Amino acid sequence: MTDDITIAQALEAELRADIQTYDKLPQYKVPRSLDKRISKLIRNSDRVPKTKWQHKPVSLRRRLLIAAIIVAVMAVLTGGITVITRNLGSFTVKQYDVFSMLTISNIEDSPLILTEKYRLVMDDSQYTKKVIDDYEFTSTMFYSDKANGKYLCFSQSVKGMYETVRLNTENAITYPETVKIDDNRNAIYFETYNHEKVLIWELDESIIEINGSGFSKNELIELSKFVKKIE
Amino acid sequence: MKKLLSVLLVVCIMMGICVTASADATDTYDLSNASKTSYLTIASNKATCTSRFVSTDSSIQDITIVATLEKFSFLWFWDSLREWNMTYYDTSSGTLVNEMKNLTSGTYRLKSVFTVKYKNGTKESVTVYSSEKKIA
Repeated sequence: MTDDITIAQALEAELRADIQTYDKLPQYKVPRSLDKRISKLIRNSDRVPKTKWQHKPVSLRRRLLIAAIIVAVMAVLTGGITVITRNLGSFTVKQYDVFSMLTISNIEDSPLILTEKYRLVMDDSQYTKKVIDDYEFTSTMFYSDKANGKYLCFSQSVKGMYETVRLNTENAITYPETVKIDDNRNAIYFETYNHEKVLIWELDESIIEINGSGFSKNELIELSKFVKKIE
Repeated sequence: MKKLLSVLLVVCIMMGICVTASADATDTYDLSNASKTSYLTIASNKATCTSRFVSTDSSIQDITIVATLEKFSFLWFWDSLREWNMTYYDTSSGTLVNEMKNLTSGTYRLKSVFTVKYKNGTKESVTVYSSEKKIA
Protein backbone atom coordinates (compact mmCIF):
# COMPACT_ATOMS: atom_id res chain seq x y z
CA MET A 1 0.00 0.00 0.00
CA THR A 2 1.41 3.30 -1.06
CA ASP A 3 1.29 6.49 0.94
CA ASP A 4 -1.23 7.99 -1.47
CA ILE A 5 -3.73 5.20 -0.93
CA THR A 6 -3.29 5.50 2.80
CA ILE A 7 -3.98 9.28 2.69
CA ALA A 8 -7.06 8.76 0.45
CA GLN A 9 -8.54 6.17 2.81
CA ALA A 10 -7.97 8.48 5.77
CA LEU A 11 -9.70 11.42 4.03
CA GLU A 12 -12.64 9.22 2.99
CA ALA A 13 -13.08 8.02 6.56
CA GLU A 14 -13.00 11.62 7.79
CA LEU A 15 -15.56 12.73 5.18
CA ARG A 16 -17.93 9.89 6.04
CA ALA A 17 -17.68 10.86 9.70
CA ASP A 18 -18.58 14.48 8.80
CA ILE A 19 -21.58 13.37 6.71
CA GLN A 20 -22.85 11.22 9.58
CA THR A 21 -22.49 14.20 11.95
CA TYR A 22 -24.37 16.47 9.48
CA ASP A 23 -27.21 13.95 9.14
CA LYS A 24 -27.61 13.93 12.91
CA LEU A 25 -28.18 17.72 13.00
CA PRO A 26 -31.88 18.87 13.61
CA GLN A 27 -33.89 20.00 10.50
CA TYR A 28 -34.11 23.86 10.17
CA LYS A 29 -36.14 25.78 7.56
CA VAL A 30 -35.06 29.37 6.66
CA PRO A 31 -38.04 31.79 6.93
CA ARG A 32 -39.14 33.23 3.57
CA SER A 33 -38.88 36.87 4.76
CA LEU A 34 -35.31 36.30 5.89
CA ASP A 35 -34.53 34.65 2.57
CA LYS A 36 -35.90 37.73 0.73
CA ARG A 37 -33.89 40.12 2.86
CA ILE A 38 -30.72 38.18 2.25
CA SER A 39 -31.42 38.09 -1.50
CA LYS A 40 -31.99 41.86 -1.51
CA LEU A 41 -28.75 42.49 0.34
CA ILE A 42 -26.87 40.33 -2.17
CA ARG A 43 -28.46 42.19 -5.12
CA ASN A 44 -27.58 45.62 -3.68
CA SER A 45 -24.03 44.58 -3.03
CA ASP A 46 -23.73 43.39 -6.65
CA ARG A 47 -24.78 46.78 -8.14
CA VAL A 48 -22.13 48.94 -9.74
CA PRO A 49 -21.88 52.36 -8.09
CA LYS A 50 -23.23 55.23 -10.24
CA THR A 51 -20.71 57.27 -12.16
CA LYS A 52 -20.96 60.99 -12.85
CA TRP A 53 -22.16 60.24 -16.40
CA GLN A 54 -25.27 58.40 -15.38
CA HIS A 55 -28.54 60.42 -15.38
CA LYS A 56 -30.89 60.31 -12.48
CA PRO A 57 -34.01 58.46 -13.65
CA VAL A 58 -37.02 60.80 -14.17
CA SER A 59 -40.28 59.55 -12.75
CA LEU A 60 -43.33 59.13 -14.97
CA ARG A 61 -45.22 61.76 -12.97
CA ARG A 62 -42.47 64.28 -13.59
CA ARG A 63 -42.39 63.42 -17.31
CA LEU A 64 -46.15 64.02 -17.53
CA LEU A 65 -45.74 67.35 -15.76
CA ILE A 66 -43.00 68.41 -18.20
CA ALA A 67 -45.18 67.37 -21.15
CA ALA A 68 -48.13 69.36 -19.79
CA ILE A 69 -45.94 72.46 -19.39
CA ILE A 70 -44.63 72.10 -22.98
CA VAL A 71 -48.17 71.76 -24.38
CA ALA A 72 -49.38 74.79 -22.39
CA VAL A 73 -46.44 76.93 -23.52
CA MET A 74 -46.91 75.89 -27.16
CA ALA A 75 -50.64 76.60 -26.94
CA VAL A 76 -49.96 80.09 -25.58
CA LEU A 77 -47.34 80.74 -28.26
CA THR A 78 -49.68 79.63 -31.04
CA GLY A 79 -52.67 81.54 -29.70
CA GLY A 80 -54.75 78.48 -29.02
CA ILE A 81 -55.72 79.14 -25.42
CA THR A 82 -59.30 80.03 -24.66
CA VAL A 83 -59.33 82.84 -22.17
CA ILE A 84 -63.06 83.25 -21.62
CA THR A 85 -66.16 81.47 -22.88
CA ARG A 86 -69.36 83.46 -22.53
CA ASN A 87 -72.92 82.63 -23.40
CA LEU A 88 -74.67 85.75 -24.71
CA GLY A 89 -78.24 84.62 -25.38
CA SER A 90 -78.21 82.12 -28.21
CA PHE A 91 -74.65 83.14 -29.07
CA THR A 92 -71.46 81.81 -27.56
CA VAL A 93 -68.30 83.87 -27.66
CA LYS A 94 -64.98 82.15 -27.07
CA GLN A 95 -62.46 84.84 -26.39
CA TYR A 96 -58.85 84.02 -27.27
CA ASP A 97 -55.84 86.25 -26.90
CA VAL A 98 -56.14 88.33 -30.11
CA PHE A 99 -59.53 87.34 -31.45
CA SER A 100 -62.88 85.77 -30.54
CA MET A 101 -64.91 83.03 -32.17
CA LEU A 102 -68.65 83.61 -32.32
CA THR A 103 -71.02 80.68 -32.70
CA ILE A 104 -74.77 80.36 -32.60
CA SER A 105 -76.34 77.36 -30.96
CA ASN A 106 -79.91 76.99 -32.25
CA ILE A 107 -79.27 76.46 -35.96
CA GLU A 108 -80.78 72.98 -36.18
CA ASP A 109 -83.73 73.03 -38.56
CA SER A 110 -83.14 76.71 -39.32
CA PRO A 111 -83.75 77.55 -42.99
CA LEU A 112 -80.84 77.59 -45.43
CA ILE A 113 -82.35 80.50 -47.35
CA LEU A 114 -83.74 83.81 -46.21
CA THR A 115 -87.51 83.51 -45.97
CA GLU A 116 -88.02 87.16 -45.01
CA LYS A 117 -85.94 90.09 -46.17
CA TYR A 118 -84.93 92.94 -43.93
CA ARG A 119 -83.22 96.18 -44.91
CA LEU A 120 -82.22 99.49 -43.36
CA VAL A 121 -85.19 101.70 -44.17
CA MET A 122 -84.01 105.29 -43.55
CA ASP A 123 -83.09 108.49 -45.27
CA ASP A 124 -79.85 107.34 -46.88
CA SER A 125 -79.46 110.19 -49.37
CA GLN A 126 -76.14 111.25 -47.83
CA TYR A 127 -74.61 107.80 -48.43
CA THR A 128 -73.13 106.15 -51.48
CA LYS A 129 -74.51 102.62 -51.56
CA LYS A 130 -72.82 99.48 -52.83
CA VAL A 131 -74.16 95.93 -52.88
CA ILE A 132 -71.46 93.65 -51.49
CA ASP A 133 -73.46 90.46 -51.99
CA ASP A 134 -77.04 89.47 -52.63
CA TYR A 135 -77.67 85.73 -52.43
CA GLU A 136 -80.63 83.75 -51.25
CA PHE A 137 -78.83 83.07 -47.93
CA THR A 138 -77.14 86.44 -47.32
CA SER A 139 -77.25 90.02 -48.48
CA THR A 140 -74.88 92.84 -47.60
CA MET A 141 -75.11 96.53 -48.34
CA PHE A 142 -72.31 99.03 -47.81
CA TYR A 143 -73.04 102.72 -47.11
CA SER A 144 -70.28 105.31 -47.28
CA ASP A 145 -70.31 109.00 -46.42
CA LYS A 146 -66.74 109.98 -47.10
CA ALA A 147 -67.37 113.69 -46.44
CA ASN A 148 -68.30 112.98 -42.83
CA GLY A 149 -66.10 109.90 -42.39
CA LYS A 150 -69.08 107.62 -41.77
CA TYR A 151 -69.19 104.07 -43.06
CA LEU A 152 -71.90 101.55 -42.47
CA CYS A 153 -72.38 97.94 -43.43
CA PHE A 154 -75.70 96.14 -43.08
CA SER A 155 -76.08 92.42 -43.59
CA GLN A 156 -78.80 89.84 -43.16
CA SER A 157 -77.79 86.17 -43.19
CA VAL A 158 -79.16 82.76 -42.41
CA LYS A 159 -78.23 81.52 -38.95
CA GLY A 160 -75.87 78.91 -40.38
CA MET A 161 -73.47 81.66 -41.46
CA TYR A 162 -72.87 82.42 -37.79
CA GLU A 163 -71.76 78.92 -36.97
CA THR A 164 -68.15 80.07 -37.31
CA VAL A 165 -67.40 83.79 -37.27
CA ARG A 166 -64.09 85.24 -36.25
CA LEU A 167 -64.31 88.58 -34.49
CA ASN A 168 -61.44 90.98 -34.16
CA THR A 169 -61.12 91.61 -30.43
CA GLU A 170 -57.41 92.33 -30.36
CA ASN A 171 -56.99 95.24 -27.94
CA ALA A 172 -60.75 95.79 -28.27
CA ILE A 173 -62.17 98.96 -26.74
CA THR A 174 -65.30 96.99 -25.79
CA TYR A 175 -65.25 93.20 -25.70
CA PRO A 176 -68.42 91.39 -26.82
CA GLU A 177 -71.29 92.18 -24.45
CA THR A 178 -75.07 92.11 -24.48
CA VAL A 179 -77.01 95.34 -25.10
CA LYS A 180 -80.71 96.08 -25.43
CA ILE A 181 -81.90 97.32 -28.80
CA ASP A 182 -85.28 97.99 -30.38
CA ASP A 183 -88.24 95.89 -29.12
CA ASN A 184 -86.21 94.99 -26.02
CA ARG A 185 -84.16 92.52 -28.05
CA ASN A 186 -80.71 91.43 -26.94
CA ALA A 187 -77.82 92.10 -29.28
CA ILE A 188 -74.10 91.49 -29.12
CA TYR A 189 -72.08 94.66 -29.19
CA PHE A 190 -68.33 95.16 -29.39
CA GLU A 191 -65.90 97.84 -30.52
CA THR A 192 -62.56 97.08 -32.17
CA TYR A 193 -59.36 98.89 -31.32
CA ASN A 194 -59.84 101.19 -34.34
CA HIS A 195 -63.34 102.26 -33.23
CA GLU A 196 -65.27 100.03 -35.61
CA LYS A 197 -68.51 99.19 -33.81
CA VAL A 198 -70.57 96.07 -34.37
CA LEU A 199 -74.10 95.01 -33.47
CA ILE A 200 -75.25 91.42 -34.10
CA TRP A 201 -78.67 90.07 -33.23
CA GLU A 202 -81.15 87.36 -34.06
CA LEU A 203 -84.25 88.45 -35.98
CA ASP A 204 -86.80 85.75 -36.75
CA GLU A 205 -84.92 83.08 -38.71
CA SER A 206 -81.97 85.27 -39.62
CA ILE A 207 -79.04 87.16 -38.15
CA ILE A 208 -78.63 90.92 -38.62
CA GLU A 209 -75.20 92.54 -38.38
CA ILE A 210 -74.49 96.26 -38.52
CA ASN A 211 -70.89 97.44 -38.66
CA GLY A 212 -70.20 101.13 -38.34
CA SER A 213 -67.25 103.50 -38.35
CA GLY A 214 -67.74 107.15 -37.41
CA PHE A 215 -70.79 106.33 -35.26
CA SER A 216 -71.20 106.27 -31.50
CA LYS A 217 -72.56 103.23 -29.68
CA ASN A 218 -75.93 104.92 -29.12
CA GLU A 219 -76.13 106.01 -32.76
CA LEU A 220 -75.57 102.42 -33.86
CA ILE A 221 -78.26 101.18 -31.46
CA GLU A 222 -80.60 103.88 -32.81
CA LEU A 223 -79.87 102.65 -36.36
CA SER A 224 -81.12 99.19 -35.40
CA LYS A 225 -84.63 100.71 -35.17
CA PHE A 226 -84.55 101.30 -38.92
CA VAL A 227 -84.23 97.61 -39.74
CA LYS A 228 -87.56 96.78 -41.34
CA LYS A 229 -89.05 93.82 -43.12
CA ILE A 230 -89.45 94.56 -46.83
CA GLU A 231 -90.58 91.15 -48.15
CA MET B 1 -43.57 50.19 -20.58
CA LYS B 2 -42.21 53.60 -19.61
CA LYS B 3 -40.55 53.94 -23.01
CA LEU B 4 -43.83 53.18 -24.73
CA LEU B 5 -45.63 55.78 -22.62
CA SER B 6 -42.94 58.34 -23.42
CA VAL B 7 -43.31 57.71 -27.16
CA LEU B 8 -47.09 58.02 -26.90
CA LEU B 9 -46.70 61.25 -24.97
CA VAL B 10 -44.40 62.73 -27.62
CA VAL B 11 -46.88 61.77 -30.35
CA CYS B 12 -49.72 63.38 -28.38
CA ILE B 13 -47.71 66.56 -27.89
CA MET B 14 -46.86 66.76 -31.60
CA MET B 15 -50.50 66.16 -32.52
CA GLY B 16 -51.65 68.82 -30.10
CA ILE B 17 -49.19 71.34 -31.46
CA CYS B 18 -50.12 70.59 -35.07
CA VAL B 19 -53.87 70.74 -34.40
CA THR B 20 -53.53 74.00 -32.50
CA ALA B 21 -51.35 75.42 -35.24
CA SER B 22 -53.77 74.43 -37.99
CA ALA B 23 -56.74 75.82 -36.11
CA ASP B 24 -55.64 79.20 -34.98
CA ALA B 25 -52.01 79.96 -35.36
CA THR B 26 -51.79 81.16 -38.92
CA ASP B 27 -51.15 84.64 -37.58
CA THR B 28 -50.20 86.33 -34.40
CA TYR B 29 -52.27 89.48 -34.85
CA ASP B 30 -55.80 89.87 -36.08
CA LEU B 31 -56.92 91.96 -39.03
CA SER B 32 -58.43 95.34 -38.41
CA ASN B 33 -61.86 94.40 -39.70
CA ALA B 34 -64.60 93.36 -37.35
CA SER B 35 -65.77 89.97 -38.59
CA LYS B 36 -64.80 87.22 -41.02
CA THR B 37 -66.99 84.30 -42.00
CA SER B 38 -66.23 80.88 -43.45
CA TYR B 39 -69.48 79.10 -44.28
CA LEU B 40 -69.92 75.68 -45.86
CA THR B 41 -73.21 74.01 -46.73
CA ILE B 42 -73.58 70.63 -48.39
CA ALA B 43 -76.81 69.49 -50.01
CA SER B 44 -77.31 66.70 -52.55
CA ASN B 45 -73.55 66.11 -52.70
CA LYS B 46 -73.00 69.74 -53.72
CA ALA B 47 -70.93 72.08 -51.58
CA THR B 48 -71.58 75.81 -51.40
CA CYS B 49 -68.54 77.65 -50.08
CA THR B 50 -68.94 81.19 -48.77
CA SER B 51 -66.12 83.36 -47.50
CA ARG B 52 -67.21 86.79 -46.36
CA PHE B 53 -65.14 89.73 -45.23
CA VAL B 54 -67.08 92.76 -44.04
CA SER B 55 -65.47 95.88 -42.71
CA THR B 56 -66.02 99.61 -42.54
CA ASP B 57 -62.33 100.35 -42.05
CA SER B 58 -61.48 103.10 -44.56
CA SER B 59 -57.75 102.35 -44.31
CA ILE B 60 -58.21 99.11 -46.28
CA GLN B 61 -57.20 99.24 -49.94
CA ASP B 62 -57.63 95.70 -51.30
CA ILE B 63 -58.85 92.36 -50.02
CA THR B 64 -57.82 88.97 -51.38
CA ILE B 65 -59.85 85.93 -50.41
CA VAL B 66 -58.52 82.44 -51.06
CA ALA B 67 -61.10 79.73 -50.37
CA THR B 68 -60.12 76.05 -50.32
CA LEU B 69 -62.52 73.14 -49.98
CA GLU B 70 -60.80 70.44 -47.92
CA LYS B 71 -61.63 66.80 -47.29
CA PHE B 72 -60.52 64.97 -44.16
CA SER B 73 -57.75 62.47 -44.88
CA PHE B 74 -56.43 60.88 -41.66
CA LEU B 75 -55.20 61.95 -38.22
CA TRP B 76 -55.01 65.75 -38.59
CA PHE B 77 -54.39 65.84 -42.35
CA TRP B 78 -56.80 67.35 -44.86
CA ASP B 79 -56.66 67.09 -48.66
CA SER B 80 -57.31 70.19 -50.76
CA LEU B 81 -60.00 69.49 -53.35
CA ARG B 82 -60.38 72.85 -55.04
CA GLU B 83 -59.21 76.40 -54.54
CA TRP B 84 -60.80 79.68 -55.57
CA ASN B 85 -59.42 83.18 -55.16
CA MET B 86 -60.57 86.70 -55.76
CA THR B 87 -59.14 90.15 -55.13
CA TYR B 88 -61.47 93.05 -54.37
CA TYR B 89 -59.88 96.40 -55.22
CA ASP B 90 -60.68 99.75 -53.58
CA THR B 91 -63.13 98.25 -51.12
CA SER B 92 -63.21 97.08 -47.54
CA SER B 93 -65.74 94.29 -48.00
CA GLY B 94 -66.14 91.25 -50.20
CA THR B 95 -67.92 87.92 -50.42
CA LEU B 96 -66.67 84.93 -52.39
CA VAL B 97 -69.24 82.22 -53.15
CA ASN B 98 -68.43 79.05 -55.10
CA GLU B 99 -69.84 75.58 -55.60
CA MET B 100 -68.46 72.11 -56.12
CA LYS B 101 -70.61 69.20 -57.24
CA ASN B 102 -70.35 65.40 -57.09
CA LEU B 103 -68.80 65.14 -53.66
CA THR B 104 -68.23 61.65 -52.29
CA SER B 105 -68.77 60.50 -48.71
CA GLY B 106 -66.46 62.00 -46.11
CA THR B 107 -65.91 65.03 -43.90
CA TYR B 108 -65.42 68.44 -45.47
CA ARG B 109 -64.52 71.94 -44.33
CA LEU B 110 -63.87 75.30 -45.94
CA LYS B 111 -60.60 77.08 -45.38
CA SER B 112 -60.81 80.83 -45.99
CA VAL B 113 -57.66 82.92 -46.06
CA PHE B 114 -58.31 86.66 -45.94
CA THR B 115 -55.42 88.91 -46.90
CA VAL B 116 -55.84 92.64 -46.46
CA LYS B 117 -53.64 95.29 -48.02
CA TYR B 118 -53.80 98.63 -46.28
CA LYS B 119 -53.36 102.03 -47.87
CA ASN B 120 -50.07 102.44 -45.98
CA GLY B 121 -48.73 99.36 -47.81
CA THR B 122 -48.85 96.83 -44.99
CA LYS B 123 -50.43 93.41 -45.43
CA GLU B 124 -52.03 90.97 -43.00
CA SER B 125 -53.58 87.53 -43.36
CA VAL B 126 -56.04 85.56 -41.27
CA THR B 127 -57.32 82.02 -41.80
CA VAL B 128 -60.81 80.98 -40.73
CA TYR B 129 -62.13 77.43 -40.99
CA SER B 130 -65.80 76.59 -41.34
CA SER B 131 -67.43 73.97 -39.19
CA GLU B 132 -67.06 70.43 -40.54
CA LYS B 133 -69.81 68.85 -42.64
CA LYS B 134 -70.25 65.15 -43.28
CA ILE B 135 -71.61 63.21 -46.22
CA ALA B 136 -72.64 59.69 -45.22
